[in-house]
Amino acid sequence: MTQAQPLIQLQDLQKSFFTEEVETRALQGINLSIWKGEYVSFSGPSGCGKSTLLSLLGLLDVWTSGKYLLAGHDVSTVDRDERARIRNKEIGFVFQSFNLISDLTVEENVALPLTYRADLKKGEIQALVSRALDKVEMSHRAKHYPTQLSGGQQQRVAVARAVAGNPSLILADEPTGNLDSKNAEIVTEMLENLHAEGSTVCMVTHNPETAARAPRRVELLDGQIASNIVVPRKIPVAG
Amino acid sequence: MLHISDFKYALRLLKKTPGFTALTILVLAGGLAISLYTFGLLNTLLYKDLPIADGGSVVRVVGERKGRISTVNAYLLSEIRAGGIRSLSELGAYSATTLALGDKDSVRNLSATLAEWNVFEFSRTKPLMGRGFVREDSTDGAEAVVVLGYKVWQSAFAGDPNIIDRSILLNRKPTRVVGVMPKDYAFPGSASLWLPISSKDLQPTGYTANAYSVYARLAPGASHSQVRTELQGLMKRVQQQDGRADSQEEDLDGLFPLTFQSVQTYPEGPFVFAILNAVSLFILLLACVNVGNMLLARTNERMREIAVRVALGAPRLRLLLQMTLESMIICVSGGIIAVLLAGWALKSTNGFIATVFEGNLPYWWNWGLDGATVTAAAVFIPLMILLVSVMPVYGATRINASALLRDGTRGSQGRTSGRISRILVTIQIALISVVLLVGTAMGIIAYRAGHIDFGIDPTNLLTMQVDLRDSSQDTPEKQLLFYQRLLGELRGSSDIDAALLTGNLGASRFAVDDMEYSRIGDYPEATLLVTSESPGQIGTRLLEGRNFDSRDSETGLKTAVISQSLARAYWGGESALGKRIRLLDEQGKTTEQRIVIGVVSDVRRGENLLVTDKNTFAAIYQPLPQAIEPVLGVLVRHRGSAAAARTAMYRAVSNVDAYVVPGPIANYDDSQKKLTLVATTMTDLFVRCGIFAILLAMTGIYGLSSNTVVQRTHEIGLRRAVGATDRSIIWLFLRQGGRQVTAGLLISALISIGILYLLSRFAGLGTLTLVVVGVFFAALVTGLVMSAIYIATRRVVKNEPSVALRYE
Ligand SMILES: Nc1ncnc2c1ncn2[C@@H]1O[C@H](COP(=O)(O)OP(=O)(O)OP(=O)(O)O)[C@@H](O)[C@H]1O
Ligand SMILES: [Mg+2]
Repeated sequence: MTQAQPLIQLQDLQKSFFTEEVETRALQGINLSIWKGEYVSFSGPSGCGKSTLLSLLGLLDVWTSGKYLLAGHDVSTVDRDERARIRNKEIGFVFQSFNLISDLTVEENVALPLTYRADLKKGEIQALVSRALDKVEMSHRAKHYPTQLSGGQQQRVAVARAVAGNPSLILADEPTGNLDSKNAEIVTEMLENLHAEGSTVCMVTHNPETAARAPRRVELLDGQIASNIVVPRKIPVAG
Repeated sequence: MLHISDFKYALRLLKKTPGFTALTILVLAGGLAISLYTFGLLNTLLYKDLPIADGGSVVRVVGERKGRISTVNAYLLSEIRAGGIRSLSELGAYSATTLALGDKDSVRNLSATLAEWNVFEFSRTKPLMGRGFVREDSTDGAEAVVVLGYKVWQSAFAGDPNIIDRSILLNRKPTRVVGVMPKDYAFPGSASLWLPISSKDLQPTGYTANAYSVYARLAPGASHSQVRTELQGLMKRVQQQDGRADSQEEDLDGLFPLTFQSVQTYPEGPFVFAILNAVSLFILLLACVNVGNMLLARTNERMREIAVRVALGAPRLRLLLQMTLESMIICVSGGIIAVLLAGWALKSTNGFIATVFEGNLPYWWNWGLDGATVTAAAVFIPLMILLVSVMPVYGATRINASALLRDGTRGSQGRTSGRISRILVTIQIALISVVLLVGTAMGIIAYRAGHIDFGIDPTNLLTMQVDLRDSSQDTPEKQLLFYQRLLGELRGSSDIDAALLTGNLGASRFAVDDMEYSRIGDYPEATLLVTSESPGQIGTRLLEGRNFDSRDSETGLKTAVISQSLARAYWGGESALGKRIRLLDEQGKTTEQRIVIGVVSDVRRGENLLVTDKNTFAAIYQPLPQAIEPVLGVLVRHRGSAAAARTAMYRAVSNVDAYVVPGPIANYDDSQKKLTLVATTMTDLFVRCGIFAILLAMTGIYGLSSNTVVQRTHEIGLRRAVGATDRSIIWLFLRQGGRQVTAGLLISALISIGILYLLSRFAGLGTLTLVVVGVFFAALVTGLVMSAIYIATRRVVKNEPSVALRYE
């Protein structure tokens, strides 16, 4: 399959926050292309704009100027409902603080993105949910509530939720930030496996080791890209 | 366990958010003030001890006939005295009357009490000057003496220090003043002066015996129910040994003690007391729920801080006490404000009610911050503290400190507190709907009571009673002549436009045409009245036929005028004129047969003015010459000033017979209003409180509802991150709100139906009206909750999801 264009294409993307008349320029002109099937790690000092960038990639926020092409489509102009649809079908999120809904059981949490799809029947949702839970080895806790799980288990459920709908892009903002090293390793491996299966993964991490394991490493500094290193052997082969 | 530092810490927290603190205190103060006020008002109205020594043991012994309080006749009274009722230690008879003070040109009507000579000893009150009564004052033929009340002494005699032994004219009879009672004493009710009942009048002369009100004291340790049992037994005994069919006590259905206050409000008093207090407690509950929720929201904000404290080794119990301390400070401050507010409101009620009663307010109805109200506050405040702290404390005990700190997850806090908020919304919806519906029902009653259409145009109408029983007009012939001359005098006056004499003889059974029933109880009832001819337009309006005139004389054809309702009920479309009406006695025998010569407009009558039944408007009027009564009402429509007409009325009476004492003159409108006064006042005041409650609840419910949304901001962000559209989020929250509203409304429907059912026994409510009102309020509450949820959700959704996800 020939990739005529990158999955993600950012052109001079800028983001400023305005709080009490003070302008914080969180992103100051990002130019970046990410191809389908890539595994990219983002790192950099605190406050450099990693989370901001990720939430823009995930259409959780709007940018101040610049252009964002997702699979060739300019998403700067799409309306709110269409953006919700894109988040739902094309993007899976994993957050540092898990962000499971405490009133819903594990399987309901995983099913959540799927319930917002009009085209899926109950049975199909059920099948996707159990496949996702199997993948993270959490099927045995399907009926539990998030508060009854350990942090690592909660994050595995969050990963299951992110992948349940087969999104083309998985965004993870410090997914191991709240976990001990053992659980962190499990979650990192999960993301690597997803990548191996063909998913595109963007992950923000503080941990240099974790960052180093990624085939492509982007470093940010003060809202700009400081370095963009591609480890050659891991570039997906075109064709 | 608790340290001063905890107290200081709590104060500091409260000071940090002055707006929040003030709001919670005010909400609680308002809620409690309403409860205290309602309690204080009703407690004084119904139950408080009389303001005399050992007032708690003072009762009235009353008879009951057909569900209404009745007096006790001298015959039964002497049996009570002789029967040795052990649970009563003292006993005395009295009756209230109106006396004319002064002579012809400066007559002044005063409310007087005819009392047994022991009345002052009974009430443990010594005269300010002179003496009280002695036994000799009541012997037959004794010199006429009077004891003056302080107010009369001041107003009519300018506080004359030499008043004792002065002779004054009472009902034109010289009477010697023997004493003056102290200020603020008017036992047994609103007496402005006292006369001794002659022992002759207390004689048990069988069925002609006079009837009296009876005051008594419970023997030490005796209870109301003991007295009731003893009196009931005595009544049965007397009725059996007596066996006379026409003796008065035969008719009594019961004989029992009541407090002085409850006599005034019998029989619905205790019921109204219970309902109003229940509703006002609901309001207090609402206030507590609101404040509890506000504190809960604050606990949630402080969740992490509390978790840190727990982690640092603070004992959980101490933390909880610390939170309770905060509630305590709020509740006690609110409580103090509430007590002051209630006290002020009770005091002003005094003034208000006194003006309505125009000096006839029983002296023991004196409102203010009394012991009972303060005691009630002392009971309510701890309950409030409990109620208000229970939610935040429960929320705090559910904190899983380790989870909160380890994971930094929002999950552990949301679940219980979210559920509590939702339950609170449901409770609040239920409470507010009950208060709204019952409050409106009461409002409707109040309005109806205040706007009862009596069927008579009250413009310029004055009423006065003439009583010929103790006068020289002692035969029906003389009385008729007196009445005719009186009408002549009145009609001759240039201040008077029209005059009419009328009397109400009470309910009577009757039959129309040849109607026959096997049982007397099956015959219809109507109010039987007597009325003079009336050339001018006054009283009822003539609809058909004619009014009484000179043709309806003693010897003329026996005629009757009937009310429109009665005519319609028995002759429907046909004209009632010329039809026959038979009046029946208690045994069902025909006493009289009358021909209908006129039909007049309906006038509202009946025991309960708030309930309309088939007897309310049924009336049969008989012409005065054919049914002479010694006591009649004079109805006058005046032309010029009311004062001139009043003078003309007094003059007319004394011109006919200088020795007949005219009764007090009242404005017809006022006298009718007085009939519904208690209902109107109570309900009116209640409705006012209801407005506060509604505001409280509306804002509370709005705040609570939007709070349930705001608490879930983070969840909203997350749902959007995984692809929920704005519409689906709003829809989700509205659906959940809808479920709470449904549950709340169902609960409130059950409670309201119960209360309204009980209420309907005392006043007609109109099911349809209530259903409409109920649906309206249901819609209102639903609209309120839904718009709160809608607006709050919209606001959260308006931001980008990243904002919501960052929300703590
Ligand atoms: N909502 C906001 N309002 C104002 N300023 C913001 C907002 N979000 C982020 N910022 C600012 O934008 C800059 C980038 O923040 P961002 O969260 O992207 O940093 P980060 O690289 O993720 O840092 P960390 O490694 O600490 O998570 C920071 O200076 C931050 O203060
Ligand atoms: Mg970050």
